Amino acid sequence: MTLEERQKEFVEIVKQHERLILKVCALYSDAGSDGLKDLYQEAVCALWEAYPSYRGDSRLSTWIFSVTRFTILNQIRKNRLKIIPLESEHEMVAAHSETTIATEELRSALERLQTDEKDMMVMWLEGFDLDEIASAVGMKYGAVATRLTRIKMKLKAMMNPNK
Amino acid sequence: MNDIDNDLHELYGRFGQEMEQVELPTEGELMHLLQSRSSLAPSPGRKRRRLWWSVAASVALLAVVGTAVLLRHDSSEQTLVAEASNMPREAVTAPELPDLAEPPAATEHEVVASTAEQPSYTRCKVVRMNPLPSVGSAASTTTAIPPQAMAQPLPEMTALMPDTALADTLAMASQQADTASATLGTEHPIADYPDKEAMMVKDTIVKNPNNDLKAAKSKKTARKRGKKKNLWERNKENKDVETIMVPHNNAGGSQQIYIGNGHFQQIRFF
Repeated sequence: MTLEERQKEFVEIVKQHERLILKVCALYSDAGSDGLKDLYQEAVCALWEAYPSYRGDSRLSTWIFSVTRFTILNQIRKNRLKIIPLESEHEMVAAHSETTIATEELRSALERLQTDEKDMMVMWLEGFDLDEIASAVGMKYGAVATRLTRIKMKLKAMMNPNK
Repeated sequence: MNDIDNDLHELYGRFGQEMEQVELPTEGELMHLLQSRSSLAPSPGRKRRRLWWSVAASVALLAVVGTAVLLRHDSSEQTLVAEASNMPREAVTAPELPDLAEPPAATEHEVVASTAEQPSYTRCKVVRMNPLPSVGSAASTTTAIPPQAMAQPLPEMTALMPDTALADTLAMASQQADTASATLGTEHPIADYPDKEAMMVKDTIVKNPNNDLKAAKSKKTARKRGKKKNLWERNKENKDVETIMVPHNNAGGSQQIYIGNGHFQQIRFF
């Protein structure tokens, strides 16, 4: 298979999972619409670099989720070290206000969870099986089921504090 | 539980709808992105070269650090001598390195108390015969060192002996060597030698617990003889023996001996 053929094959895969990649970018970062596109491109490049190492052990969507999540967190960690000039800070605030209500609501709810809890919740919301979640977070099936129930209770208390 | 499930799914559904509205790159744009990234990515050969460069840099860094440590060690030894002799550091000359061309069992041991510039310190040479007598075997000691070999006073020693500091040191060493001999319970040949003072310093060299262990050539034989254990146990009982004990083959090493009145004598072995 030539390089171009491999690129075409990969682009098809990315197009099939583009919404998953975008959702992970949106949930694991607080970037605005422009920043979100940049992160999406970074994630696609990281997936392309990691693509030869994909052996088909897990489902393709699970692999894409893991690589994208890792790339986004890595990118955020790098960007924290950068000094942001005042002008661009204003731009960032403006871009942030453009993000929609549901995204902000979900993001603020997930932000209060621990990292592994957030991973499990996002995967569950995205429709992954408990087996896939268990293999992704390195836990047993039963433990994941129990943790998910507790996380839901926690989220319920956070989202409806008066009930 | 179903309520929260429904709420979360509803919220996630709305979030998904919002994400649908975000414009993403087309297939052509993605292909262009991948092609531009592929050209920027380092080739395997470049990666290999980078690895070799990093290895070479690490080795060079290690060499520099090692040299610095060695240099520091030399200079610190010089500082030690300067401090012990209350002299400026520049006045203390660096110790001469042993001539490696000569066999290790040299017939000459030089004991440097200090430099000749300082009147209260001296420099002397002690000549000894090889092989060294082993601890705990009086018979072999007697045969190993002919008394007549040590009987003649050494020229340099004679010339510099007026120095009282060295004499005190040697007297102290003599006392401690006697104690050591008594502790070890062996017949020591020192009393037989006329040039006792010269032998005292040599005696500190001679008293090496590992002489017999090395001669034994195997740990098993050494254990059978039981020399090491017994000797170290005895040394623990007598601290004076420990302070005067000089390790075997201590060429290049040094030892400080307290000579009284707040003075230390630096003895260096070449």
